[in-house]
Amino acid sequence: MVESLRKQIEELEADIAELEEKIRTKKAEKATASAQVQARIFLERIFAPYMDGLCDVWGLSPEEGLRVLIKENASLDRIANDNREALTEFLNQPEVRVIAAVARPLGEVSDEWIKEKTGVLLEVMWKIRPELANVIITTPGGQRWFHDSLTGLRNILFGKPQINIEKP
Amino acid sequence: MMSSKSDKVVPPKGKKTHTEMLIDPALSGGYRRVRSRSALDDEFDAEDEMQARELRDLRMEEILTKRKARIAKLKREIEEVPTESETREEAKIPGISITVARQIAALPEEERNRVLETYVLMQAAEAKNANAVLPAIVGFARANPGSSPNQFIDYAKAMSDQFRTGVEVAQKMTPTQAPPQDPWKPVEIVMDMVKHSVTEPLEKMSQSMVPQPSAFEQILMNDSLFQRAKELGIFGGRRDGGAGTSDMDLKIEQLRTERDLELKKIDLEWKKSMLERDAQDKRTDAVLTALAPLSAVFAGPVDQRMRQFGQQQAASHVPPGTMPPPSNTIMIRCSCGYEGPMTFPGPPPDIIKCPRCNQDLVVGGVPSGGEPQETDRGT
Repeated sequence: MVESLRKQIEELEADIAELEEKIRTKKAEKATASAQVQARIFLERIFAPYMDGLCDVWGLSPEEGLRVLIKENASLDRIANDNREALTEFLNQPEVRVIAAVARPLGEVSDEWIKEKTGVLLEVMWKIRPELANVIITTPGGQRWFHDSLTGLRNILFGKPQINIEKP
Repeated sequence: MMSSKSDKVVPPKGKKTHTEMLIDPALSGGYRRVRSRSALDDEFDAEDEMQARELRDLRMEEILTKRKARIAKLKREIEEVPTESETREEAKIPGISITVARQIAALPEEERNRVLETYVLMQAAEAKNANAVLPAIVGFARANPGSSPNQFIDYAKAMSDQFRTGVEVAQKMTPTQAPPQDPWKPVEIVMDMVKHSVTEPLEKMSQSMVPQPSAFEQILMNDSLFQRAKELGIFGGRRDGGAGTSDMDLKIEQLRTERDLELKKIDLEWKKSMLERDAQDKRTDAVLTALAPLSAVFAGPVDQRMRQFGQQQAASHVPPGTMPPPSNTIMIRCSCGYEGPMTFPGPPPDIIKCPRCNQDLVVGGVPSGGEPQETDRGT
């Protein structure tokens, strides 16, 4: 009886260890896939067009504008906060509200998550805007500026709920 | 800012001070709590056990009632079996043989009537002997025609006495026979058989089916037994380590180990089922599959808005060392309410489209409120 029980318990423990490993692997895969999707949305729909807009007015190429911003440590959120009126108007645009609601999970990610997933974010950046990714990587302080800008834009878009999504 | 707050169409958040995570907790460093057994679970288990016991008692009562009803029915059937005396009364046929009856019928009517009268009288007096002496009476009537009724009776009495004497002599000469059986005896035998074969086994079975406390429970419920058992070291062995209690100690330890292992097995099975459910969790997949197409739908408008937002911000923040805004950037002002810069690689065309309402706007024109809309030359 006891031996039989011990054998069953050993089998159960082995099954549990296998399941835990399977869940760990699956979660890691899911986290990576999720990070890639969210990073793509964030970089492709928010970061890159914003940079293009800035550089359009400054008369610089995106690469040049990015180098200037990294050099003077002017993160994107700092620039946006310099003009609160335009920022408020922008955030109240219907399209921005919709995309903010769709990308709502991005608002929940922590600073640590962005820091940890910087590699994933840069990898996605390489796919959609390789020239910008190269500037971020090669310019001193580029990755820190990138992190600060991402967290700043996250705070601007999701720091204050522009679309009321009630939470339980 | 105040106006934007008043535009909200959803009620305020109330007292809630936190927001719920809509993504997989693994992405934000969260984790899923595994609920452990609480005191409430134990309470529910105890209640379930009590209900099961009550159900078992009710079932036992039902079985007992059915068996009692069956026994009562058997008793009634046994009582309805006809007794020996009743059978004898129903079979009360004169013990006259056919030969004697023919002889009686052959007698003259007067002698026949006297024979029958004598037979009836004899039967009334001694029923058993009447049949025996009837042939002799018939012979007397044939041998002595015209005899008086008294002579018939005297002869019948004499023959009856002689018959009785002969029977007594025969009884004395033969070995003692068993006394006549009591007519209720077979019934009692059958009753005993029923009792031994049906009633007692049923009662024993009923008693065994009623939940009886185990030996261990009886010891626990009885103070004196408990103390005695304690002194004997049944609950963990004696301090003197006597050889007499070592087997009991081993048995108790074995039972304890089995119980612990059973509990551990149950716990592991539960944990395994939880993990299996977690392994099939597809919530993150659902989030991913929802995000991509939705973002694609709004990709164009949002790209445009972000670009315009960047252009607006650039006007208010010019980093040192950058060139002033080129002359091919114009400020758009549309009757739809849109107002913002738009940059072109070369000179702007004469007519452009409003980024918001997609209407044609004349570059360098003056806003008139009519159509087509107009634009101002930008900085």
